[in-house]
Amino acid sequence: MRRAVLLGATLAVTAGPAIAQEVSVLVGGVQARYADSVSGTAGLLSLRLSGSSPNVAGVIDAGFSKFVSGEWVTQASSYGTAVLGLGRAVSLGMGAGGDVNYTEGGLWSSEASAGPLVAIASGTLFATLGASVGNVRSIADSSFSITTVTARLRQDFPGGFALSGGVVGIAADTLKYAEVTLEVAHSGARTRLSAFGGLRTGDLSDDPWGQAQIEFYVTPRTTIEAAAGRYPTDLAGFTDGLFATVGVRLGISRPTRRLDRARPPVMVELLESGRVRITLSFPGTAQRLEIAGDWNGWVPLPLERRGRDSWSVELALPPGIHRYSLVVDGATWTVPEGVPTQPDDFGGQVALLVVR
Amino acid sequence: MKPVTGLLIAALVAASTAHPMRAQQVSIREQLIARGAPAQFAEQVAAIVAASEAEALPTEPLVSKALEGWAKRGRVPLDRVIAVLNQTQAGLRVGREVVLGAGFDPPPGAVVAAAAGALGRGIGRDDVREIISVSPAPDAAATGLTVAAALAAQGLDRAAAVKAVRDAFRGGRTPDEVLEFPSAVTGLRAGGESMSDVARRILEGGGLPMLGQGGMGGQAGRPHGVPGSQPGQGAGKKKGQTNKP
Repeated sequence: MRRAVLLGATLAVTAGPAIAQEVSVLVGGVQARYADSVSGTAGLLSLRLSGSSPNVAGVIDAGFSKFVSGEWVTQASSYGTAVLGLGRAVSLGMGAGGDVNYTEGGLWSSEASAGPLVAIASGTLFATLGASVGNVRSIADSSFSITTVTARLRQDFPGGFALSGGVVGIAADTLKYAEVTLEVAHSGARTRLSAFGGLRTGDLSDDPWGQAQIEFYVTPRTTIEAAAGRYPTDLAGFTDGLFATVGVRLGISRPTRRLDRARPPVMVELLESGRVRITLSFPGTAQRLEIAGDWNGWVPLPLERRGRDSWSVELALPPGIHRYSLVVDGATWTVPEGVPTQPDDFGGQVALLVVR
Repeated sequence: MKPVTGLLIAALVAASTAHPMRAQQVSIREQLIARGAPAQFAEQVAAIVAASEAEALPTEPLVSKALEGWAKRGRVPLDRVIAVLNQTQAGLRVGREVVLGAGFDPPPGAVVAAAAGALGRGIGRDDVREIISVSPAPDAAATGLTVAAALAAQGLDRAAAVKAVRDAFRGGRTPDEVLEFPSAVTGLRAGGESMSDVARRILEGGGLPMLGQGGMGGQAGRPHGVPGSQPGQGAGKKKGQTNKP
């Protein structure tokens, strides 16, 4: 069995670049303390394959853990979505996912589910609604169906902050329960910090749980990942527990940093009035900041300071790509860092503002 | 800027916006003079705009470029502005010819302007025609060409820029979604990918990620990489708990 696992891992690493755009390996360690007071320390080797195309995205994680006491455990999980745009802000699609756990000695569990989803985007607010049906095979050798209904919301804020929350209703044969989760995240130039917590009520109610994670991007292909916290009991029969992990993720075919974590420091919100609120991050010592663009004949309009480095303005802008510049203290024409730009034909740059 | 001057400019801008085809051309001279531009410069700009109108070329790119050049006069000599306008006008002529060749007769001004912008960023005539041909509507063609030009201006390989837009339209993406591509490229670059990585991603068929995508997932559980139990010791249920149906 061990030889088969190693062979599989070798094949995955070798064939990974052919089937996925991003392939990375995580090498690290795990310290876990389970609800029945058993503790374990293990080394971890995990492989991630992920990819996305215009309408399809997916990720597969497969890991092998070996306890210092000698036993080993393998795990694999996957999730994928396929969506089709229905209009300006709505997409309809399917999601499918699953996981498998196999423990030395023959103890194993699995879960697989799939179902439709609707994604709605409005400015920096992103919502998904979905449902799925599937099957769970528990470590107690029982098999039962599972149905979930999920609603999630995410709001992005200037400066790389994001707040997301969700509600999941779950019916698994005779069990019915609901979970509420909340996550706060910050994506910086070299780091991503996140805190995630949840609460469960119903037949599988549990104490609240929470986890914190940090990713530090050492190089484009090297990330240090660390996480710690508490996780809840699951349907497969595993108890809740405490954990701490630390490891180094090495990108094989792509940088390890996730694609959606580096957000341009400009937020565009469509307001109910039909106008657009632009909020941008502009660190520095500017006392006055103005924005001028092709929508109004390049007349500078003042931005209002919202925080130490945050400025905003409301404008009447139609959908499209607009060219603009910032005017600092009435004198210096410049563009924000980290936004799409192009030459202005006059020897400088203009920024591109996308309004959908 | 003095408040009175600002109000006057705002009024002129509003007037030109209300009657874009006529008032913009009529008022470009007045707009520039109201902003303090020398009469000779304003006359030169007005002449270029009038000549373009006579050739049925879109004048909005010229008006905008003239106002931008004047606004940045602190670092841009006025003769440079005139040179850029002449260059833009020449590009519009070529753009009109290419759009006509793609089957638009008369060619929509927005598409001509976008084609000129794309050609000006080094995108070939055949590629411009191809983007127009796969676009679901003239407005979409203008968006697609503008996005391709923006991607090329960001440093993306031109073939990859064209492929991104072409494949997106062929794949059923809307112009709104295509508009996200420049920001997506910026996000990838900020995420550590080189521009050649981004280009390779597109050329290999990976496309560009949609910002804001994701977020479904299932119920909460044990993080990946954390074993559920130590073999022979930890597997089982919490005391007093029944989680097996």
